[in-house]
Parts: sequence; C-alpha cells; structure tokens
Amino acid sequence: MLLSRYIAVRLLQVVPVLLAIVTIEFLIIHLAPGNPALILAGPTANPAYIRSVEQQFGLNKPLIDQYFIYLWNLLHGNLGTSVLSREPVFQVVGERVGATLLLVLPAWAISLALGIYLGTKAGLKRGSWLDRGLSVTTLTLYSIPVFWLAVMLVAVFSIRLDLLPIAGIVYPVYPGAGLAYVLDVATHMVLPLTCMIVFYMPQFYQLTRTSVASTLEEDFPRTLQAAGLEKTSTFSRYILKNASLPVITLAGLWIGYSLTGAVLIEVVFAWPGLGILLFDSAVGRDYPVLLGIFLVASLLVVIVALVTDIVCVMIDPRLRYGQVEG
Amino acid sequence: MPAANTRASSSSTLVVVQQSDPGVLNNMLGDTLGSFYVNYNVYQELVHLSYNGTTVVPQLAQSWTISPDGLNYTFHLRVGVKWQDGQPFTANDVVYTMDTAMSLPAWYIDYLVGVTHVYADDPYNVSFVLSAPDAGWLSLFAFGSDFGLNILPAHLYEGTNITTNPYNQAPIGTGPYEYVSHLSGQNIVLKANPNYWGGEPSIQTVIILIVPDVGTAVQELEQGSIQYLDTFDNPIDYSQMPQIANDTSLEVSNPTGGVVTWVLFNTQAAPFNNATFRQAIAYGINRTQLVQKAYFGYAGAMYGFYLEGPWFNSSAQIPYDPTEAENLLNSLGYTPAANGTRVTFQLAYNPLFGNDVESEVIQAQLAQIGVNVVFWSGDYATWFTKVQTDGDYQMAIRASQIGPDPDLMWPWLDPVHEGESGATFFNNTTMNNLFIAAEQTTDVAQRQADYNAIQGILANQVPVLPLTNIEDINIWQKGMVKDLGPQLGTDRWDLSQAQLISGSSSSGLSESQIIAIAVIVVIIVAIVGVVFYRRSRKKKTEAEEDRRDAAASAGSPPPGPGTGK
Repeated sequence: MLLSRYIAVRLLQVVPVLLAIVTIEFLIIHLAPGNPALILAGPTANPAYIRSVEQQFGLNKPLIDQYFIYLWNLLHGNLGTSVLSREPVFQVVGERVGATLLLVLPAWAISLALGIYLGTKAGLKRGSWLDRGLSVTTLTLYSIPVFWLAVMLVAVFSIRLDLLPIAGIVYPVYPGAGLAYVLDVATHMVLPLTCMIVFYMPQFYQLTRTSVASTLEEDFPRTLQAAGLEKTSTFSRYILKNASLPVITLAGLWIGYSLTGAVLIEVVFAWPGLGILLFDSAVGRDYPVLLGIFLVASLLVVIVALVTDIVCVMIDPRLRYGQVEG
Repeated sequence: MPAANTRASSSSTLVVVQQSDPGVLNNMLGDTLGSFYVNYNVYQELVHLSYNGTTVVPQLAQSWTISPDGLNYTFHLRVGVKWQDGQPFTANDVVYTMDTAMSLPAWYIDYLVGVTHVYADDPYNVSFVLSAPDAGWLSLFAFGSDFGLNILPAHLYEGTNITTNPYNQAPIGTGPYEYVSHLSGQNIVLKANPNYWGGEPSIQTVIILIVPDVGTAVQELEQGSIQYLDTFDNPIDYSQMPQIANDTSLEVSNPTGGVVTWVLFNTQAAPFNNATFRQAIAYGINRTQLVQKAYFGYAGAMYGFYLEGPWFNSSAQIPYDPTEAENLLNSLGYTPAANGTRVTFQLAYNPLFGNDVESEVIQAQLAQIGVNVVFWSGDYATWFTKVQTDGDYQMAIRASQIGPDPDLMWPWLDPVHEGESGATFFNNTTMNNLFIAAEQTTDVAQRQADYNAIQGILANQVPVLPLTNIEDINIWQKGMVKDLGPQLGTDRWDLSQAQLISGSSSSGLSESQIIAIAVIVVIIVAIVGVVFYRRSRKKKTEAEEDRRDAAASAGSPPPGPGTGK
C-alpha cells in the first residue's frame, strides 16, 4: 500500500536527522566556556582536582574522540553517566519525564481543543462580535509575560485567597493516598497548567480562525452551500478538515518544544520536570544529562512530526504525492 | 478521625528549603551542589567550627591533645557512638575517611595539606601527624570538616569505589537524623534518629524542599508552608529584605559571615599594571554606599584587607576619597577628555552573591571621577574560565570565603601557590615569604606581625580590593519553630535541637479544603456534561427537523444560503 510505503520512507529519513541532531547538539554544548570539573571543584578549585575530574569523565581527550565515544555508547543504548549525580543519564532523565508530561500533555490537549473550538466559532463568523471579542481576549492573554502571570496568579490564588498551593507537585508534609493524592497533585497543577494554556491556546486559536476563514473563501464551500448544506456542524466538518492541516502541524511542533520550553513555568512553580533539570544541568555543565535531555526532546519532535505528517496524509491524501496545489 | 491524625503528624514535621537538587548526598565527593542539611544532620565530623568562626567545637571527638612539638594532634573519640545501622563508630572510621580524603584529589584537600598520615592509637584515639608545625591547622581542619570532611562508615565503604558507592545516595551517618528518601527535583526527607548519642531530636521528620526559584521559596516561607530558609542555600534577592524584615511573623538573624566580595585587578594588563592606578580606583569606590545600595544594609563595608577581628590590621586601609582618586589619576596623566572621561576599562562579573548589582553601583561611583566602566558578564563557569583560568580581563569582581584563618587568604593572592589563582598575576616575594613564615610558626604574636605586614603590602600594592563582608541571613517563622542553629549560635544547618512550637500548624491542604475542591471539580464536570448532552440532543432534533423538512419539500428546490439557522 502507498501509505505504508510512505511511512517506511519517512522512518528511514529519521536516522540521518537524528545523527545530525546529536552532532550539532554535541558541538554546541562543548562550545560553552567552562566544563563540569570547574563546577564540581567548587569555590576553592584545586588544579589537581580539576584535572582528575576531567580524566574521570574523559574530558581531557580531544573533542573528536569524545564525540565518537559518545556515538559508540549511544549505539549501545548507553547515554552515559551524570557528572553531578553520578547516576546513569537514562535514570536521571527518566525520573523527570513523567512530571513534565503530566503538565505538558493536558496543557496541550486543553489548548488544542479550546483553540480549535473557539477558532472555528470565530472563523465561521468573521467580523461578528463573538469573533472580535475572542480575538481581543486571546491576543491580550498571549501578550502577558508568562513569568509575570505566574507571580500574579500565585499572589492572588495562593497568598491572598489561600485556595491553591504556591509551588511543588504535592504537599510534602502529608502526601495522601488514593483520591486525596490525585486531588493533591491536581490542585498543584491548576496554576502552572493555567499559565501554559494562556500562552499556547491563543496560538491554536489564531491559526484555526485564520485557516477556517480562508478555507471559507475557497470555491467548494459555496458549492456545498448551493447544494443545501448549512453553516452547522456538518458544514464545519468539511471546512475544518481542510482548515486543520496547519493546526495539526503546529500542534506537533509544539509538543516537542514544550518539553524543554516549560523551563520558566517549572522553575517558578518548583515543578520537578525536565525544564528544571535542563536549567541545573546547563549551569552545572553536565554534558551527558544535557545531551540526554536534548536527545529525548529531539526524538519526540521527530516522532511527533512523523505522526502529524501521517495524520495530515490521512486527512488529505493529495499530500502523499507531494502535489497539493495552492 | 483522619483529619486529627494528619494534624498530629504534621506538628512534628519541619520544612526547610534549598535551591538546587543535590547530585550526591555525600559532600566528601567534593561538589558544591550537595546538601549541607544532610552533611550536617546525617553525617558528623570530628570537630567543627563555631558559627562565629572563632572556636573549634568537639563533635565525634570529645577532646584533643597536641604534642609539644606541634606535629601530632590526637583526637579522643566519643565512646558508645553507633552508626545508624547499629555498628559501632571507632577510630577505624576516621582513619578510613582521612586516608580516602587524601587519596581523592578534592577541593578541601587544602584543609589537609601538611598532614602526612593518620593512624589509630586504639579504637577511641586517632592521631594526625603533620610534616611541619602549623598554627592555623586545627581551625582550618574544623572549617574543612563542615564542608566535606564528614566521617564515613568504613564498614560500608572500605573496599568499594567511593565515587560509585550506593551509600552516596542513601547515607548512613552518626547524626541526629536518618536519611529516608530523595525524590529527584522535589525533596529529601529525614527522620529523627532514636539512638542518637546526643538524645533523640524533638522533631520527628525534616523535609528539605527543593525550590529552584528563591522568590517562590520566600513566598512559601511568608505563607508558612516552609518554616526556615537560610540564604546560603537560597541566594536571596536583597531587594526582598525590607519586605521580609517588616513581616511580623518572620524572624531574621544576620550575623557577620566569612563571605567577602572583592575586586581583582589584572596587575599585568594596562591600565592596572600600575599600583598607583589601582590605588586611585580603590579610593574612588564608596563601600559604605555599596552596602546600602547592593545589600540593603545586610553586609559590612570593608576598607581594610582582612575581616575585622584579631588578625585585622587597622592601619592598612584605603578610605573612600574621590578627591585623592582624581589627584592620583591626574598625576598619572589620565586627565578628563572633552566628554569628562579619563579612562575606560572592562569589569567582568557573574551574578552570584549580588555581584551584578554591586557592579552597577561601582560603575556609577567611578563615573563620578571620570572613569568609564563597561561590563562583561557571564554565568559562573564562563566567568571563571575568562578570569581565573585564562586571566583575560582587566578588572573583575567575585565573592569567596576568606576566613577563618588568615592563611586561607593565600591561595587567592599568590599565583604560584597551588590553588584557584593566577588571576591577578601578583607575585610579591616578600609577601609569599611572610605567608610561609606565618604558616610554619605556632607563635601567635609572630603570626600577628606577619599578617599585619602582609596587609600593609596589600594596601600599598592593591592587587585585590575587598568591598563588603556579606552577612549570613537566616529567616524563620518565629511562631512555628525555635532553637534552630542560628538561634543557638551553632550553625545554620544544625537542626538537632530544633523544636516546633505546639499549636502552630504548617499550612497545607486540610481535609475540608480537599472536599471543597472536590465538590467544585464535580460541579464543573457536571455542568460541562449537561451542556454537551443538551447540545447533542439539540443537534439530533435539528437534524431530524432538517430531514422532515427535506422529506416535506421533496421535489422543490433546496433552500438558499442563510435561510437555516
């Protein structure tokens, strides 16, 4: 079948893409001045100690050797050992992925659903009071700096009203069990989730709205209308199918980005995810962990890009031959 | 009742905070990202330094004797101390720890320099042999102990590779608290050690919360969900201090600490290759104003070259005197150009310890005497490479610990001394010989004279300029916790005597709050469900109507656009 062949070709393309990503990331990380030995050595660094740490982690070898050693280990599924915690990178990163996904996936799903729903509403009735109201509101939300919003939300809901926790993922003092635990985590999620949705929903909204509006201007909707279809859900299903391609592409890109792009939100809310780990590892020049995080993020981007491409092809078979016209 | 149970258990839990998630929980592996709370409360040391840095305090060693020639220090260990796994603590543990420390090149090796070997006289006496008498050794050793020379259990470490030993992540010590768990990025939990030789602590559980943003940590402290915050682990933004000082539920202790911020001059690069020029810049920096503007008063202004105290030479000082600064600059030919600028140079800083704000204040102060300062900034590792490793800078600013013994100043000043050095390229043979002489004598008066002379040389040559002595700020909820280390004068991390004040409750989700939130969630879900149900019903009826209409008007032309709604 053509679709399966398309998927096979795309899968083969992933290999050189990943190799390029690893190479570029490796070089960029090593371009930053300083190395982990300096950080480990602390404020009264002793040159002998710095040299011994460099030796221990193979940092004294030429960069090209380090690169091939890293690739060789990677081929064997070995991501290396964290310089700071001396634990396997796989474990260090694995411990944090869950928390980030717990925040990112619901934020993604809610933003996407809300954005598409509202965007379709507004796009179908462009120029109406609903469209204008929604567009002004989402644009305002999008313009709010996330950092400021986080501080304001905490000031109002956590400090003034004392309704929600300030930070963290559970109350450390009494981490309940069962339903109490789920609710505990849920209450901790409310503010960071709100921040992420406020930042990402408007993007999906704007794209859907524009896309729906421009699809409406094409010829086929008029034909559909002439054939008796109304601007009801049946109608918007045809429109939406054509209008959804750019939104799906953006949604795919966004998932990969938000895995590490949530640094600010994670730091402000002390959310124990990949974002904080990325920050700590960058300050501590923990090369293996940094590479591990980047690799996980790039792998996810590549996979999601593949999935979105396949979804797009399934929605619009013309894409399979790369011959979609204007 | 479950609610009552929750409250009872929370009343014996103390929540403290640290900014970074520790990599390993064994500070002996020599990294700055460990946990000092674990290092101080799970592990213990032979001796440690009192909080004000003046006295050596016994801990696992009850007392010690020094041989008349000053070469042999014998520590008499506490008898009956047990490791938290039940094994007895003996001299063998001390010997193993020190041998390992000396074999592992580590940053605290400076505190063991001069120790040739360590041996056990018997299970409760252990001797350290020095190669030469060193008057400052004991206080240096005590200081190093607080930062990494914690005694390790030989029975769990001997014969293993210390860098990969699993007990680095799950420490067993002799201290008042036992390690329970470490959730990456979240917290470390300790519990009271019922068999602690000093008596079981009153607080049953200690949670070391990891909060990367210090602003967030301060909010949690003000709200009471964190009860104690020390600014060594949580570098606070000093502009928050006035607000904290006004909060009546908080108590702040701010004794003078040993961390000093200071300027380094590259004595081989123009214009700082001239001692008079360095003096002129020193005269132009108002350190009293610096304390107010950069630290909101939570620091001491330094005009001399060592911490005020017994080793301080009060006659070796450079006061703030902008007129003198301008005179010196004129004498060197740095006269103001048409725009008022005499000279321009670069100041390299990193943001630790408020050095970024300090740099801005210095820029403004020097502008007043016609000196134009441009900035270079980077994170610590980048800054370190530029300034300390490459020496590629003109003027730099940094912070570091220079106490408790003046011998510790040496690594910062002497380019040939093994240490973090080379930055100023200042190599003064007279000064180096004075340092060596002062290190090798036990005669306090002689050492005093040597260090006075050294401070005289520094005031004359100015390779470095101390600016401020930062205070050790610790903040706690005074209605919730008492007898913390800073209150007892022991150490900021000492929680062994701490007590929670009964009647106070740490804030958290109460049972009623959980129920309220659950009710709200259920209501929202119900509303959304009802709305969707009604919408789908409505659509279904509409569709049916459409079909009926279509059936009724069969044969007639379809309705035009916009007729349906």
